[in-house]
Amino acid sequence: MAHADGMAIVTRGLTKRYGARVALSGLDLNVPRGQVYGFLGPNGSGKTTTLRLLVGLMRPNAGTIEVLGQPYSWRDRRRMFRIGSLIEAPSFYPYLSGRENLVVFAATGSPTPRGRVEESLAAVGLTERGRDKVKTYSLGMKQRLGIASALLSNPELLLLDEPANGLDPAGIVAMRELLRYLTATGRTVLISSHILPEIQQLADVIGIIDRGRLVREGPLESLLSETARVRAWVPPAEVPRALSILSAMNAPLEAAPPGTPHAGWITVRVPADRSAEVNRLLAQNGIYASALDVSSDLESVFLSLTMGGPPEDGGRPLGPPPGWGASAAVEQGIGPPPDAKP
Amino acid sequence: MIRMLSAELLKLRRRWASYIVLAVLVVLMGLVFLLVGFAGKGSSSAGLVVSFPGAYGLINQFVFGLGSLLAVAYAAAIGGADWNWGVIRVVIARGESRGGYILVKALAIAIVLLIGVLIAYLAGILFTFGGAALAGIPAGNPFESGSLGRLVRMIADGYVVLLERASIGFGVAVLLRSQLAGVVIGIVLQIGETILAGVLLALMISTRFGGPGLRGLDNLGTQWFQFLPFNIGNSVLNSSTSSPNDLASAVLQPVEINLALLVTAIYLVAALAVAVITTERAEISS
Repeated sequence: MAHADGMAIVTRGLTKRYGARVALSGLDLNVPRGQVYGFLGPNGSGKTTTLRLLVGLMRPNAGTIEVLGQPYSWRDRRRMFRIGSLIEAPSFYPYLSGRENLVVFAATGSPTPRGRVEESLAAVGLTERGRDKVKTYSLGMKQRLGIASALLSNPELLLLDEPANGLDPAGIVAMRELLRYLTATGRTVLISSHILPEIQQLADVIGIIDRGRLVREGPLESLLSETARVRAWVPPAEVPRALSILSAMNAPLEAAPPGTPHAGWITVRVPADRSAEVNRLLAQNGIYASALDVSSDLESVFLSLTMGGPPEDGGRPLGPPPGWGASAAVEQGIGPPPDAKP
Repeated sequence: MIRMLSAELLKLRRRWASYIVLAVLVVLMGLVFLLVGFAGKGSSSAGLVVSFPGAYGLINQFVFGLGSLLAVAYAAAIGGADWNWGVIRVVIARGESRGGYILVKALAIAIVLLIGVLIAYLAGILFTFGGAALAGIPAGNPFESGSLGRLVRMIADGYVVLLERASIGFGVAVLLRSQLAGVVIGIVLQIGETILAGVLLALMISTRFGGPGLRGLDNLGTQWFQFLPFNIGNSVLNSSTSSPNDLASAVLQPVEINLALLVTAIYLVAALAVAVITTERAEISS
């Protein structure tokens, strides 16, 4: 197995079968330390199976795993002390309060210092509801409590399976801030999600899995550059002339068919930083674009790799509503500072 | 381990089942004692039930008879809960020892059952006084000279039986990863074994007295079915009370108390071993 300096997780040839069905087929994953790794894949592609293998819930049929610089097996309990995880749906004792749930979890696994329960509750903004029974919590609150549970052991590596499930927009932004803070303090976060715009905002590195195999892995920017495009809206009658002008950019061009609702939109497949050039070329030739749209979306990359082609419209990033618990978390020393990048 | 045991006890303290099971047992026992006292007013035969030491027979039947049925259901409900709610996933992912976790959970259940047994026993003693007062007879001294040691031995032996039966419910629930399966199968096993023993006993008596029966059931020695997981407990309880008054005790050669205790302990350990090994080897997929 290749030694992986600077890697939090390395898997080689990881294979897992459920009876005759192959869930993972030779997965080679490279998760760099101190970064947010977006782990993407369609339903049933093997994401959750991978996470289960990484936290010792299951044994692989073949392959190796290296976690935090050392070979790892499912019996390696000490290594698990350094991992925080939220796998599948958050699980709790419904008849206990949120705080009591964290207390009973803190009593298992790695030694958890006193006060850590309160810090973790504060980090996810649940201090005030900590005394309420979990059965009264909304899905979003349970999800936040699940993240708090993952933070209990102050982990170096955080594995989160669909952590944004059930979170409201404010909760998603707050979670994003918290995870950014955690990586800023040297932790590694592997986050599996279906919410691609969220991953696009959060992740530094992306791994895309399909049918148990890694189909693409790399820095987010380099993946996005593959599908970057600039769209300009010009009067439909000017489209042929605009296409002729923009051909000078030596980039693929597309125009929406005349007579369709999208008539007038011209797509130039260039990186976002060349959008000004598109605008300038058109203006210099007397065509004034009424709208300019720059996009390089992860959804296009994802769909092209897992379904063979991008959709008609890419996803749009969510706006930044106010977060939960960030200031309280900072007070407790676990959350991001107020000036953390949103 | 202390930290984990304390957490397990917190979980049990917060569960309604811990109180409901005890309440059901105590209320039913109280009703029976008070009814016997009321119905036996002025009758000397009531003194066999609502005065000491005879009252201990009825108390034992409740605490370790009905009590063990409730203990099976209780232990299964607790043992299966972590699987039903998916909490076992969190515990294992935190790096906790799988086997250690199961054993600490079993220990917490054992502690709660011991507390329950002591409370129920105390309640039984108080109900005896109540029943005796209603019947208008003296209850006698529950701790009279020489009987205290016997009482402690009765409770200790009965507690071992209770634990063994609870561990079977616990083991089944963990094995099948289900509270409901543990409760249902545990109770069915206990009742089923009682029915089986009753049928075999009837055949044995029939065979002995020339009626239709089964080969091998025509002697009055110790029979194999007395060693089944729940029947062996009856041997312990009957020996402990030293006043076997059922038909089985009259016909069958009782299993010697120390042997019965040993077999009971083996079943207890085996049930826990099943729970530990199952958890150690389990692949947790949901």
